[in-house]
Amino acid sequence: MAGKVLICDDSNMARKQMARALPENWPVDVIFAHNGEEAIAQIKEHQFEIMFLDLTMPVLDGYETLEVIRRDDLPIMVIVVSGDIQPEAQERVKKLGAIDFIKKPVDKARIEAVLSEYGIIGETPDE
Amino acid sequence: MSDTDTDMTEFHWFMDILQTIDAGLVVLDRQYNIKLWNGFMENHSGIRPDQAKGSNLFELFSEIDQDWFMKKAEAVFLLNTRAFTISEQRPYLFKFKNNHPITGRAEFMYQNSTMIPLNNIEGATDHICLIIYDVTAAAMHKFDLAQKLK
Amino acid sequence: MNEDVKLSEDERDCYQEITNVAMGQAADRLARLLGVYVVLPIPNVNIIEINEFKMTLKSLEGNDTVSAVCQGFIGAGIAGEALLIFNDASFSDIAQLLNYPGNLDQHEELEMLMDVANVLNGACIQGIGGQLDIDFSQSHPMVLGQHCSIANLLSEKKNTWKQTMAIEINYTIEDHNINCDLLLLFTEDSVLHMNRLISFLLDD
Repeated sequence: MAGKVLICDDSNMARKQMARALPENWPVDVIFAHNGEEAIAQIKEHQFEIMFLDLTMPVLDGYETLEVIRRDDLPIMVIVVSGDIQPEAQERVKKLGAIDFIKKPVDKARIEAVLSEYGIIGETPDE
Repeated sequence: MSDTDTDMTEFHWFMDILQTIDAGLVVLDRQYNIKLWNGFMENHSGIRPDQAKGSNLFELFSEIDQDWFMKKAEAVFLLNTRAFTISEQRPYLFKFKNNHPITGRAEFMYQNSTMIPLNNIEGATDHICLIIYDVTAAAMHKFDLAQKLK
Repeated sequence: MNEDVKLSEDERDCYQEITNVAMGQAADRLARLLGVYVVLPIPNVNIIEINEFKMTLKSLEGNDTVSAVCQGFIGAGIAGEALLIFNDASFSDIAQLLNYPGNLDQHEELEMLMDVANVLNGACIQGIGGQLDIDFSQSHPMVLGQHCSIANLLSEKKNTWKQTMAIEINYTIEDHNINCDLLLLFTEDSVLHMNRLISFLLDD
């Protein structure tokens, strides 16, 4: 059964770029959310391998989303993907529970490395 | 680092600087064909170096008064001396847009230029370098002052 | 220009995202220069007429006087200006962060304006250029005014343009009274060029 990946970003272009940058032979379904609120709703309904989360979004931004996940103890791992690369931003998201931070524009190799590092994708594909 | 390495590093620095510097650099041969075209010229003209190099200056830029320019340039080739033009003579050589297209008033970029002789190993001037300076701000101020004094 | 320039939703979204990444790079540098946290909002992207432009500027004014610097950039058929507008109340806080001692005079304020402009303009312009694979030339910054009202910034200029694409980025710094607006203004011709360039980013 294919796993699911959640991409949360208010920008259509950014969502597409993120989806295109996922490892090629990773058999997952991609679900998109336009802001933190939609993402939380998706998390409550489905099981996800990982969520890629933007920071600057309307309605519920990335920081607020991480806070909700922590407060409600929602079962999801989050990698923040953002253009806001200042040192404080990276620190704050890690403190709020994100497992890592990837800067935009996204780089395929970096995404694959992070996913490997946290065991989300293995060395060989699962049978 | 060996001497050759230091030279190479310095060479690369110069190349980077010449590309980024806020002045136009054009090298011309005896027939007024373009041999060098830096970043400033590329960005303001929209003509890439590979398009500019080998082309004739007057064919690419019909706004340059050929007779006037050649008179100035020939003096540089023959006398091995520098020549200068200022925006009061002609507002521009190359018709480029004003660097401040939104907040600015000038319709185009006012330019001063310098022509310097480039000599070969035998000491003959077989190329010249044309340096283009943007003097729009100064030109506008002078214009304002002149208006006030009327 | 015969026709009015318009942006599709996809194009607007694309410019917003490109700017988002560029301003993130700019904020990072400012953050490291001043040792602070820079609050990053979503940038506003709009095609505006000359009258709307003057109104946009007025809306940035608030109750304070402003100081402003503008810097032109150009490359690959795209030309525009970066207009940095600083609320004068910001200067004392910036002075503290930059360790400028004592009382500020107009000269020192100009120094700070230039320091901040160099960081923000450069990072935004090159940040956008980097994503579009363009190496923009930047002209020297020009002071439009110090301690003046916005109306004075653009008085009696003969306007040769009808529309501009304006990208508005507001920077504020957490826990400090620092507020500045960076307006990236592109000419009508530029927008057409850029729309062509970004079409490859929009393709599925």
